[in-house]
Amino acid sequence: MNEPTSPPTEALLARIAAGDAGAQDPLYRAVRAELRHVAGGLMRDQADAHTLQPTALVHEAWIRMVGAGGRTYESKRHFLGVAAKAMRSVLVDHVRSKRASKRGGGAVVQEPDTPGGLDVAVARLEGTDTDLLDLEEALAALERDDPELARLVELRFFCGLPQPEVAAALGVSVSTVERMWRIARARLHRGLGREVAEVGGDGPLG
Amino acid sequence: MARWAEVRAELDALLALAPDERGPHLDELARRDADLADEVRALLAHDAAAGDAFLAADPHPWEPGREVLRDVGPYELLRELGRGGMGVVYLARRADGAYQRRVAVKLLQRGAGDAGVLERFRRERQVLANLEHPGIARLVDGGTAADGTPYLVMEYVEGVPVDAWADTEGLSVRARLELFLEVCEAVQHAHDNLVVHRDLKPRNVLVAADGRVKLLDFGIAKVLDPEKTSAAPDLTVGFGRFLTPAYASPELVAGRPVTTSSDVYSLGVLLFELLTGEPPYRVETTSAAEVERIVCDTVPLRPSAAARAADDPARVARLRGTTPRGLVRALAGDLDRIVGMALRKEPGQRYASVRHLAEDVRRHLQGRPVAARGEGLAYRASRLARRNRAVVSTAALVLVALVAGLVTSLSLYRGAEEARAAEREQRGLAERRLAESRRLADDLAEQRRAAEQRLAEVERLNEDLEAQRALAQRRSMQVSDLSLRLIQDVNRRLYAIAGTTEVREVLVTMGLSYLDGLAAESGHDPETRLRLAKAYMQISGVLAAFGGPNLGRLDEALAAAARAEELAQELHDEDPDDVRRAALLAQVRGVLGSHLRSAGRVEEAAAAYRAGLEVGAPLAEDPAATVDQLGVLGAIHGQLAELLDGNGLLAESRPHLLASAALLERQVAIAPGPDRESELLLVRALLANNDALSGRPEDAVAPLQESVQGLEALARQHPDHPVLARKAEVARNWCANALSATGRVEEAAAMLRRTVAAVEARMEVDPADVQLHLDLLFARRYLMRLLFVQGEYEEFLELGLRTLEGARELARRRQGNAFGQTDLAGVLCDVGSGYARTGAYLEAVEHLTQAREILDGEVARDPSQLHVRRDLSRVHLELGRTHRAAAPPEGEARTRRLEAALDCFARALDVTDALVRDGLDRSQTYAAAIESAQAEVRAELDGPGGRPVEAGAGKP
Repeated sequence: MNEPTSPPTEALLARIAAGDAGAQDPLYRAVRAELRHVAGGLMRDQADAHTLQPTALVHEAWIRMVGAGGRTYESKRHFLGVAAKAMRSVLVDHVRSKRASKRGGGAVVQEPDTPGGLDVAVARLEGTDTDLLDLEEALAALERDDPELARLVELRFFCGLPQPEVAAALGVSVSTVERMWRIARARLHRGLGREVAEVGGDGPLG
Repeated sequence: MARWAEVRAELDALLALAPDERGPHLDELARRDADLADEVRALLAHDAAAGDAFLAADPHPWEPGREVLRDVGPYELLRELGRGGMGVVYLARRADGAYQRRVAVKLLQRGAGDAGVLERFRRERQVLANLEHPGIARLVDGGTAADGTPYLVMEYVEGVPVDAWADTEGLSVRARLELFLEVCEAVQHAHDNLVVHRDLKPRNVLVAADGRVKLLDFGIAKVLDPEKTSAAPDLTVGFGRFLTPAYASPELVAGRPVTTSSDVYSLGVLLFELLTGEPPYRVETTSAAEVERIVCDTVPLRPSAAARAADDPARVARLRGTTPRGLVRALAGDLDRIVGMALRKEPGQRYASVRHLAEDVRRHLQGRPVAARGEGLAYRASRLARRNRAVVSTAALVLVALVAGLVTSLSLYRGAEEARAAEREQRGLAERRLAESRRLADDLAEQRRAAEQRLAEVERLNEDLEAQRALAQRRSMQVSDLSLRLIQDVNRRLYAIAGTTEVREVLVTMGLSYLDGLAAESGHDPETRLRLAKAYMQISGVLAAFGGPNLGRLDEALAAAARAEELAQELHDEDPDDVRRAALLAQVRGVLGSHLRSAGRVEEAAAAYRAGLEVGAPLAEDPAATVDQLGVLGAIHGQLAELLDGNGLLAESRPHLLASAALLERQVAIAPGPDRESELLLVRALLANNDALSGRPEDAVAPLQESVQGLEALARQHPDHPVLARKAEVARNWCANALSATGRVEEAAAMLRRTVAAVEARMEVDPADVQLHLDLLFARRYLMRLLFVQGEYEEFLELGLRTLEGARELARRRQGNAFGQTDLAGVLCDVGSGYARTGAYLEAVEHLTQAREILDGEVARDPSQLHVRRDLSRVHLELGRTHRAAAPPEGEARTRRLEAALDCFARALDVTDALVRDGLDRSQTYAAAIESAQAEVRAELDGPGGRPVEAGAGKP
């Protein structure tokens, strides 16, 4: 489990950089396979896993990870941590650049978003009432107080790992990670300026 | 927020408590540090306000475009967890906030859920609600969505399938077994509550992050798919929807009743996979018939073999923290047997319960002997044979049944210490054979698999196919060869153990059908045919041996011996100079002779013996002949002599007795041993008996006593050897006979009483042995004769009636055996004579007449039975004597009686005269006795008022 994991796709990446679009499919597949491998059975349950589309999120995150240099990962835990952080920055940067282009008023030709594209990921995460940039701000504040909780948010929210995987990645039990998640969530809830019934009140029992 | 660490610690502690339990803690905190308490309260409020939906989205749209039902009854579906045959499972929570706990909602596929599902769910609900166990995910609720789709709600379990978990954690075999025991415990709990899972598989056995197992879907299968009721269950649909063929038990697949044993089977599959990383079968088809064939007929590899045959054995071993070799070692033996027992096809052959299975695993972990036994070769072979009758001849099947039967039957002989030792020896032998043949069977299975692969390439690789076929054939021959040796070895050893006749019968019955099959395909290989001939011969001996333990099945014995002779003759013709073949033919003819003798076909028997001697005689001078071959020759001489003696041809028998004694002496000198020494002593006794019968009893007594002592000593040294004891008894009978002929009646009587008691004792041990009943009959008749001579008629009659009962029983059991009938006639005659002596003339005539009818029939069937004709003349004589004794003192009745007596005497004389002509020794003496009786009666008829003469003291 602790064998170093080397990205197998640097050659593919080099080809994409050189404008070889034909390298994209194999890259997607390799990245997805890699993620699936380290996620250790995350998707094993999905009976029809072979129909899954690789997502732009995984793709972009991977490019960032590989782009950071030919690093190796000490462990699955380490790899997941790096991957989750990369996804966070991919998504946040994507939202920022979109807002920037809108503010600039330029005639940006939007590519029609594919089902697995970044816009879809953002839309899923934001739901009806969460702004990713606001969330990023609240998360940054949390990160200053408590880097561990920020890791947890990255793994669970931005990377979308199920709870047992998160627990494994952080090296704590599922029940502990559940409490950690509720603490982090409460901080972000407050950081986003959300209302509660009786802020600072006497609590449920009065 | 400098104090975040403190805030987090307090929150951590408080979140572990239920909301209504936090008050005192918060109050205490407020007294100590009001700011801290405020911060903590604020965040707790945000925690409550945020709820599960906040930040619960999954960024990965793995399957874009799927429509998701957002609300199902009072549940909100949050995300998909997985999908299977029955429908899709979603993570969900109560929309009305009735409780916070997240649940898994199983949305049944449209069309799959008929109205019955909910009905059954309601019925099962109470039972399922009782399944409170930390290892079982509870079934919480069920209902119908707005669009009519039925759904089931279960406790949500976050975990990883047990096999994946064991692999990612790199669990050792021991740790996997411990994990498996946890699974067993949960299943057992359900079984105790009368709930069967019916669909146990890794995907339903999750391990949470804390390492505890949790079983999903308990009772679901039953709710979804109740008892198979229809006469023609649609398996294809059934499998597509509800079952996972690779884990389904044979009874489930075949639509037979499903019990807890079905879960035992599925647990076996799970254990197999945990241990080897491979499923026991690959079920990749959806054809119901194919699935049924695979699940019901295929015998899976043993786990150790599967681990060896894995695609990547190194990886499988590494995931278990060991080496490939280490893994195979860890699995071989106990675990192979445990898994094998759980995976038996017949529910009745599996562990009786999950508890038993778990207990055996625990025993293994503690290094105690496990309860699971190997399947028995019979089981594997029958499965193997079902799969391919062409490659695996009946040989494997029978071999294996033989060994299995043998091993179990051997536990019968716990009596004497010696018998126990023999048992151990037998068991060791059988187990070695078992292991050997198992290996062969495995090899064969592998060959078969290889051959199947080849078949696919048959067009291209015709040569390869031929090679495979040749190999398979060679394997098959090896198996049959092994079985043949087994029959011979085992039979030979069992022969020397008392009480084994029944076991040998099992051996023989199977052996016969096997031999017939093998003979049909033996081809022309001389070695095989040689062994075949021997096997037939030995089997015929078990069926009906003259003088040894046997089953009294004479017709079959004759057929087997004839088959052996045919084969031996053929072999001898092919190479007349081969000593081995000549000896075999001689021996086979000897065996045939004794069977013919048993059948009362005296002339044919003598001819067979003589033919045996003819082909064997050169052996006596052949330097290449072995000691045993000489012994065979000696035995044939002896048997021929016995036949001649019995038929009254005493002079003719003598040279054969001398030749037999000479050959046996040579044999004993070179290779002593109880069998050969006893044979020699017996032949010497026969020689002496020949003297006694020839009218020289005084010469016979001393050598007979010597033989008896020698044989008794041998029997004492080998108490479990039934043939030795029997030989001693035979010699004692002859000795007693000679003693009484020389007037030493008391000694003789004591000797005979001892024999009767001894035989009765042995009969207790092996009631199936017909020879013992026969021995008892002989011993009693010798004793009766003595009692008659002594005039002890009452004791004589009492013993005679008991003997008669035995003789009738024997005649029934020795079907086709002429001795059965003639012996019965002999006893009838004895009893009749006894009645006549006590004045019960009516009974006397009745018994004697019965005897006469039997003997008339036998003489008509085969007049070469001189002794039968002699018995017939005796019966006529006795009838005549009875009439004479029954004649009243005077009157017409007296005349009629005396005339009837004369009539009988005349018939007796007719028979006897013919015997004199045919050269029966001492027949003139009989004739003279009859003539003198005749003369006396005539005198009485002629002499007016003459009184009836006392009944003579003739021998019965």
